Amino acid sequence: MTRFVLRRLLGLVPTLLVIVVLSFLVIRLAPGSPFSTERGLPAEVREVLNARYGFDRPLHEQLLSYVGNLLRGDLGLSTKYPGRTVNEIIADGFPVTLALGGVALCWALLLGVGAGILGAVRQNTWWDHAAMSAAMIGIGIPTFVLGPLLILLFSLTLYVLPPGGWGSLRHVILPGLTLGTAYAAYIARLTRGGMLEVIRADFVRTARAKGLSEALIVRRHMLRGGLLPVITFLGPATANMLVGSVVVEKIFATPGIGPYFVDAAFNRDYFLVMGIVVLYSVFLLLMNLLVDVAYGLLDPRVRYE
Amino acid sequence: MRSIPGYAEVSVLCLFALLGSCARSDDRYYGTTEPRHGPDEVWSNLSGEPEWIDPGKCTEVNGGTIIGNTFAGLTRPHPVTLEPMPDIAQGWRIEEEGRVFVFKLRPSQWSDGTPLTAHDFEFAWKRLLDRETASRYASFLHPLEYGADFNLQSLVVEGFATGTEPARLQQLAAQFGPVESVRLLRDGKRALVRIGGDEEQRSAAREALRRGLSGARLDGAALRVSVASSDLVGVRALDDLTLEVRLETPLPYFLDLVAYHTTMPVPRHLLARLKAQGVNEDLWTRTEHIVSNGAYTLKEWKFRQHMVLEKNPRYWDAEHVKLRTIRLAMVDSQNTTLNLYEAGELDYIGNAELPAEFRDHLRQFEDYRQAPYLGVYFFWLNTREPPLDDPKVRRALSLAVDREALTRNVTRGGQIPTADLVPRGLAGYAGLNRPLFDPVAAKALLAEAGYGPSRPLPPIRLSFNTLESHKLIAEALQAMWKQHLGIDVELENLEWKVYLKKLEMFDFQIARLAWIGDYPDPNTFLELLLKDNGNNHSHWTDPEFEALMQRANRTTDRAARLSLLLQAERLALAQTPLIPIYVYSRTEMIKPYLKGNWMNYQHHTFFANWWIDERYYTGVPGTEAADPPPPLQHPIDIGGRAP
Repeated sequence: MTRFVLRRLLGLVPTLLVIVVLSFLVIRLAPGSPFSTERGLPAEVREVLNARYGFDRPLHEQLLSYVGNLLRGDLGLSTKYPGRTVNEIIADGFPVTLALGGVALCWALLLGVGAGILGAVRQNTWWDHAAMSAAMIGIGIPTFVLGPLLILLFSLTLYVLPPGGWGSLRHVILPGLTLGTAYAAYIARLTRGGMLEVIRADFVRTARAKGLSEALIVRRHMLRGGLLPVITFLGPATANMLVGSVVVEKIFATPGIGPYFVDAAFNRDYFLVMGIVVLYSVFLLLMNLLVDVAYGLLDPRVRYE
Repeated sequence: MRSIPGYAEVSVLCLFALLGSCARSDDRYYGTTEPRHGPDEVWSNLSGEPEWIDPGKCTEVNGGTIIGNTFAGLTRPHPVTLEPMPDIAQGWRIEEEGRVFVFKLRPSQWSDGTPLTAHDFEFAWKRLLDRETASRYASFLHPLEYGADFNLQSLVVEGFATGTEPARLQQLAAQFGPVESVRLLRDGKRALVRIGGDEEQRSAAREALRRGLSGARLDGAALRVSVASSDLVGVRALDDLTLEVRLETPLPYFLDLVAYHTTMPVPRHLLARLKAQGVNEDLWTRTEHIVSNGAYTLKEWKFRQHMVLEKNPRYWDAEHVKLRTIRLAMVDSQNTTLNLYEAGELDYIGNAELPAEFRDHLRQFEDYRQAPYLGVYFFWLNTREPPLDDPKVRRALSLAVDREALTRNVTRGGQIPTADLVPRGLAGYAGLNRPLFDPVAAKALLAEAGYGPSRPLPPIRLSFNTLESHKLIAEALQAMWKQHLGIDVELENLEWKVYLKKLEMFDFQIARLAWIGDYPDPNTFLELLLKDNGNNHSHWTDPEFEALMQRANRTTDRAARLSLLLQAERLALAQTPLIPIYVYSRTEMIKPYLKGNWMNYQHHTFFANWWIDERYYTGVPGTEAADPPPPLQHPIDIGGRAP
């Protein structure tokens, strides 16, 4: 197991390197400069700025020095937010996005797994249909519709929660619900499907024959197998929720890192773009690894060589 | 840069339109009318994280708002009329027919108690012009004597015999590289060589000139060459409280310039201390370091979340600052801003704008207001690209735009249609008042240029940067030109940075842009058309226009100067290097209990004047509280030339 994890971690290095090199080149291929605005900039000033950020050196040198800095954990300086390092910007925004993603994830799991179990255990009853219809609606309503609806209800009609901003627990509820609901809906359907696959399996029948209580059977035996598809989905979904909440963060003016995915590229904020790409890649790769590990823990058929 | 409205924006709009209004305390207002905080603070909004709050480096509106309220310059604009009034300078004297300004400063302090002196201004201005500062706004002080030469690194040549003609030096220098001009410094012993040639090559050209000229001989004398230093620049602290400024040419709007945040002082003592401690100079504006001299100080700055400003007890005019705390959110989405405003989380939308599609609905509420804004939306014409090299074709295109229909049906935000470059009424400027729309004359002009049904104009490309509102305007122009002139226009939609690159390379035929005036004077718009202005994207130049502009800005009589500027504008627009469309307008929402916030041409907000009408804590009062703007303050008489 340890060897497996170590080997996989080692395997991440070349993958990351390829990602870094490719995205470094792609962002530099885009026309325009980080310093261009509608107000012209004299060549004298542009030279100083380029020299300050090292953009005056040949591209391969810049790439090498970037990778070197990256290995030391230095992500460079932002051009859009002068005087701020990309490390600082990510350290400011990432906890916010993590908190938002965490709340969303808890909500998604709570609601999704709950509804999924309900649907599977009470298959083809009124309960099942209600839960699965709700899930269909949840999948169908995009965040940019759900968010404003929640704002309208809780902020502008009932005046109980703020419609945006950040700073207290009250601020995280609406964006968290908005972000988590769509995932909850997926999780509900996956849980139900997974549970139905094992519900008539021999080991469940055996458990019943042993006289275990239904609750215990669901918890101990069915969930382990039933949650496998959810686990598969959860890896990339968690990464997505944690790092990719672009729309939700925009609607609720949440100061996370979501908007950088788009804005940093528009601004040609080279190092910030790279920082975000690296962060997201690491996160995604780690999540996938985590999924594989979780498989081993949940499914007795999986063995690590 | 504004963000592109995405799904989020559009959907909020649709939903709200569908669901209509909800419970409110008073139907006349949009959202709550009860302050959600104490009477000693205000919650406002910046439309995003400021890039810089360093006076010398700030280039955008959010940084400008912070600097304008935490720093104080020599003058400050009147909150309504924007006329310059004394601030740190209590009075001034104008000498040498408007070329020299002597400012007398009032004794005042930085927020850490250090005395503020004229040296802080000298330091700040020279720092702004220093190429190493890499300020994008350095050109703001190019009007200072030798300011541009220091900023753009002209060469200083000395060692030649007194009385040598600059033309002879120029002749000599031209052997080594491109020279734009050579002129003698005031002492007559040194000469300034401005580097010419292609901008990208200037660095190399400077080096070649420097090497060539050093040691070269003129009439037997060996020349010495150096790069222009800050000592040359026309700003000098005569003593702790007297600042002397020398300008290249008289500048009638100079007192407006020194009210702008770019010219505000920088705490020399703090920067020196940080340097000694080895701290990156860029970090001086962080809350743990910053020292300022304005009505408020920066208390808290949470990156991309909020800023908190607190009243500065050391501001010289602190007794007139009413509120203790200003809390500024940083919400860039227009719809989210409006939601926050409706819920009472914001008292004022601040620097944000109202969602365009929402304005018609918001207009009915009493907390809605609008005013013209000092900016012009226009299209550059590339005057070297046939068929646009023919002024008749350009004028025809301009005349065939139905600007009134465009602002009424397309932009719909109270914009003022205009065919002039300078908004009329600006600082007493009469305005050209050119016809807004004349399709018959347009057609006639096109025929005169040799185009008609038998010989149609080739298709024209119109470029704009990706934004829904630009697209709508471009499509409207496309339809109008098709309808009135029978021209096929193809639209080119480009991402912002790509677009800027194309503008810079002159790789376009017609391209949209806007210009927001820096100071309330016609010059801020007309200088766009000068030959050497890097923001002139038309390739159009006219020596007569240059001469008129120069003459105007050397004229001290106000009326005569404005009439010369008017002549210059008439001459330029007759050749139509650009097609003006409208003057901007600003629309905003402000809670009825927030007072002392008046609209002005430049959307300058002065937190110092704000106050809360406390009657709103117990319901909407029947009468409006009196809220007159402060009277115009005049400079004190500082007497004649000092002995």
